[in-house]
This record gives sequence, C-alpha cells and structure tokens, in this order.
Amino acid sequence: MKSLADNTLVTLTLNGELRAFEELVERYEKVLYNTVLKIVQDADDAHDITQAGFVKAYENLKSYKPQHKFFSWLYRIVINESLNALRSRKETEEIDSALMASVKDPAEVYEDTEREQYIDKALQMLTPENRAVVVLRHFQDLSYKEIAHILDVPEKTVKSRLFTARQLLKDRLLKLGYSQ
Amino acid sequence: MIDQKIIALINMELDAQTTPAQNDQLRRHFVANPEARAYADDLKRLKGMLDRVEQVEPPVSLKAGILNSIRTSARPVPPQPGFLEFILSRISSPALPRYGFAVASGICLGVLLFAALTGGIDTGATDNQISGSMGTAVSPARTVTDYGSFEGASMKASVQVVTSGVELVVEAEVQAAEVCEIDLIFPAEAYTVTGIRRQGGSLESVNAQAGSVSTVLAGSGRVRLELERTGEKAPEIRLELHRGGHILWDKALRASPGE
Repeated sequence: MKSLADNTLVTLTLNGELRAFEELVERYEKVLYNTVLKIVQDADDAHDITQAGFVKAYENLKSYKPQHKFFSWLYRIVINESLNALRSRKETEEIDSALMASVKDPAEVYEDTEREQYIDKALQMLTPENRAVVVLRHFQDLSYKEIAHILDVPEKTVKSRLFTARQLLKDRLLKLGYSQ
Repeated sequence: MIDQKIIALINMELDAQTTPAQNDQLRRHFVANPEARAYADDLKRLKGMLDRVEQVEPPVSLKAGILNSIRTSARPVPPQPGFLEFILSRISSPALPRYGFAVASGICLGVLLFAALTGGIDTGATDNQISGSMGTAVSPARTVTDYGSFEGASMKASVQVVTSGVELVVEAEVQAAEVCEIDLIFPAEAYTVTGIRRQGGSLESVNAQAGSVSTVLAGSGRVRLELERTGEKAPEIRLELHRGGHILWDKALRASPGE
C-alpha cells in the first residue's frame, strides 16, 4: 500500500478496501494534525477536528475529483472544519485581552516562555483566516497557488492576507517582548 | 514610511517569488531607504522563527479514532456514470480528443444499430483459447501485447496486457469458487503502479510493494493493474496464480510488441 499513489488508494477505498484509507490516514494525519493545532491552538480540539475532517473526507470520497490533488482536497476539508470551529468559539477578543493582561512584563515572559509559545500567542491574535494562511505558508511550505486552492480564494487574497499577517505577527512578537 | 509596493516586494522576496530584476530594484531601494531594509530584516527573522517550529507527533488515539468512526459510518460508493452520461461527459470535455471521441462513439452506435437490425454480433471468442498472439492492434493507440488463459483445478483464469504509450494495463480474470491469489511481479525500476481496480468477486486483501502487487480474491472476479512505464524498455511482467499455497499458473507477459 505504501508505494501506491493517493488516487489509487482512493479507488481502492471506494471499492471497499478499508486498508487503503488507513494508509491515507497514516500518510497525512501528522501534517493535518499539526496544521489544525497551529490554527486552533488547542490539542483536544485539534484531535477532534482532524478526526472529523478525515471522517468527512471518507464519507464524501465519491465527490472527490481525481484531476485535483487528493491532499489539497483533504486539506480543504480539514481547514474548513478548523475555521468553522474557530468561528463558533466567538471568543477571539476575550483571548486577546486575556493574553495581553498576562504579558505585562515582557522580560518576565521572555524568561519563562519558549520561542514557540511566543509564536503560538502571536498567532492567536490573528484572525482565523490570516492564521490559516500563515500556517499553510510557513509550517506546511505550500505555495500561494496551493493555499488559494485549499482556501478557495484568489491568489491575490492569499498574498494580501499573508503580508498583513506577517506585519501583525512582527508587531505582536515585539509587543510580547520577543525581539530575536 | 515604506511604500506599499516595496512591502509587497519584500514579502514576495521572502517567498522566493521575485524576479532578478525585482531583487535588484529592492537592493537599490534599500540603499536609499534604511527603514525598508530594517523592515525586510525583521521579516526575515520572523520567517526564520516560523520555519524553526517543529511538528509534533499526533496522539496515538487519533488514527484509532478515525478508523473506528469510519467503520461505523456510511461506506462511500463510487460514482457509476451511465453509458450515455459517460459519452456525453467525454464529448463535452474541453480537451481536443473530444472530436475523435464523438466520431468513435457515433461509429460504435452505428455498428450496434446495424447489428441489432441484422441479427446480432458474433464476437468470435471461444472459451478454450489458451494461447496469445502479440501485437494485435485494438486501436491505433492501444495494443494487446500478450494474453493467455488457464483451465484446471476447478478454475479458469485469463490475462491480457494492453499498452498505450507509456501506459500499460494488466487485466486478470478468475472464475473460481474458492479463494485464490493473483500476483503480478515486475521490475520496480521499470514501472510505477498508477491504479488497481477490482470488478466482481470479493477482495480479501491487496498487498502492493515496489515491484509487485498481490491480490487475494474470493469467488469469480477481475483484477486490473494499471502501470506506467518509467524508462524506454518495457520488460516482462510475471503473473502467478496461487491457491492453497501452490502455484497453479505461472506466465511471463510481454509488455511490448517489439520486446
């Protein structure tokens, strides 16, 4: 199974071969879980959203069109699940204010917090849409075109969101006391 | 103050999306505008930080949770377009071959109509055919390079190899009441597996590795292996039919009329 192309595994799954879908899960669970984790910033939520995304993909496998990359199609489902979950939380402002209250002393935070925690905190301050673009570009190394396909937006929107998000991240990291 | 166009260029350079001319433009701009250079340096540092973030291992419960969920969910059913829908989809596709496909479809329909009016079609196929001939042209693009059949041990089997450019299809059919194993073995450096399909029977398991695909089939059915030739040569493909640990049929299949 390991040597088979994604589209072949999809065909086998549609023919009732569950082992083929298991291979697709093994192939992409890590990258998708990490993507979701960076977007939702919560390990339990990332687990549930990744799982829901894979199940949704399985149930809708017949609607997958082989002319597209399976990975992009799967990504789109999982990213949409993540963004929907974030929108339903409706607590972005509360997180922001709580976070800012906890970082009154940047030097203290610098001593106690790892670099990645700074990044996570800065990411939390972005809108879900901007955060998704940063995660896909920087953590998954996807191109503008691939991100545009996954998020179903024009490439110029991807660029605009990415450039804005970088500016905000840079400013927020400085505000959080991280200067390196 | 940094011009928005320069900010966009700095970001694009970060993503390796700028042309050499745009890079030169940025370098010249940085000399005149240190603020823009500082901005670019800040973004490079940010990128460095983001790129160093390591991926974590997903919890072990994730895969188990997914598989448990899909076992209890509705099984996806492959789309089954009807004949007319298939023809229409090919004709309405934007690719150039649609005209050829439309003409071929018309000819096929004409032949079928003629056959219906004149009393049916005799394919000339016989059940006892046991040897193949090479280079039988099916169409200008598709060629049957080898085929064969087997009868014995309360089962029948047949196989054919069809090539079309670098694409190659090995189709094996088995008529049996018991479980049997069809192994197709090929040089891994010469072919890439692009698809495996099964029609009829019950697929017990598929084990695909570089250089071989092993399919365990219960009952009568057909297995279709799709390969793509990666080099100039098209070496032979070996078919082995097993049952109960014994090889019943072992056949070397030619993958090229000229080989």
